[in-house]
Amino acid sequence: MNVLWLLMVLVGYVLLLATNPSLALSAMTEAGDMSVELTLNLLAINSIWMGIMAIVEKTGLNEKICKIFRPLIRRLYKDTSEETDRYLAMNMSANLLGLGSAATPMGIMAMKSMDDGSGKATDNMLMLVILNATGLQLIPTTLISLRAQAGSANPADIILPALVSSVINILIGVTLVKLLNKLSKKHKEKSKAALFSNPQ
Amino acid sequence: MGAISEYIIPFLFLLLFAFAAGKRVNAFDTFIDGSKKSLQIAASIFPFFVTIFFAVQLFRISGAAEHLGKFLSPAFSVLGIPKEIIELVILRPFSGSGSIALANEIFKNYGPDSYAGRCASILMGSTDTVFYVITIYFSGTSVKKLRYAIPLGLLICIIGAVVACFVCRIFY
Repeated sequence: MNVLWLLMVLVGYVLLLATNPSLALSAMTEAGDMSVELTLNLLAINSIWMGIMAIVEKTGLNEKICKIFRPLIRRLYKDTSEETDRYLAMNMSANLLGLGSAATPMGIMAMKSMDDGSGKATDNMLMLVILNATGLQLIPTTLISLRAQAGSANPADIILPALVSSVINILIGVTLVKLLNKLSKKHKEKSKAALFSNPQ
Repeated sequence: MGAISEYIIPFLFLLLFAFAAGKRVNAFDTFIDGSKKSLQIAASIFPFFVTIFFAVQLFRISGAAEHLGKFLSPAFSVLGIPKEIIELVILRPFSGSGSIALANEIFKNYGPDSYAGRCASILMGSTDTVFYVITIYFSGTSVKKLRYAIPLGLLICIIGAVVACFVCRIFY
């Protein structure tokens, strides 16, 4: 991440010097503005949804939701605690219902509960992140209204192809995560074996 | 579709709160407690956003993103990605509002029902801002080593673009 970040920053400055140096300062400070705006937007959304989710938890409804998603959770994630399962189920159900803004805080809580303190991203964490990064949206409302405004003959006709694409992306994503997890496990075991057979 | 979905949300939540009332849950206090957590999330996310946006803004405003797009254009067209949406493909993992603005420009310049417009639409509807998601989700944890999260995220974005254009060709 550091490499990527530094690269972008360096390339950015070099190019600005070459083309339009006066934009540099505003580009830098815009970042602050954008962050404040986005964080406040998220805070506004999260404050409501976390309140609602707390109520769902208190009424025990999340237990029932959890039961529905348990088989899927078992197949995707390994050795998760009860608490983690509950957050994962909420995250999945919110995503499917199209409540992306509710899914995010649940996802964050799930990540927190999966934190084993080792400072390394666990297999489960990676699965959750990639699953949410592949963006399953049942009805992309913003997109449809943009298309309508731009004069599309049938703005909502992309719902089905977008859905098909989403499903394909999710399947590919999940497969890759499982593959990479298996590969990194094999790598770990190999290097552990090497350590034991070659005491140095 | 529109009419029914209008009713679903208030109805579902009516059920939720009625259920809570029936179970004698102190909804007021519970809501407050839950809401407090949103502040913690905001506090831990903010520094990450600042850092990421810093790099993204510099990269975009300097035109680097555009140049990268032109550079990658031949490789992308082999994959079936029309050159009009290349900048969108590159921007999508980095910026939600930026990619929406760019998609809008694509609609204005090429029409929402053109091949480029449709590919852009499907791309927007089936992918997400990967860096944003990775950042937010890891922000509350103690994780410093992301392992393959970022490379895989980027790969998935490219795959997503290829899939979007492929599906576009099948459907139209």
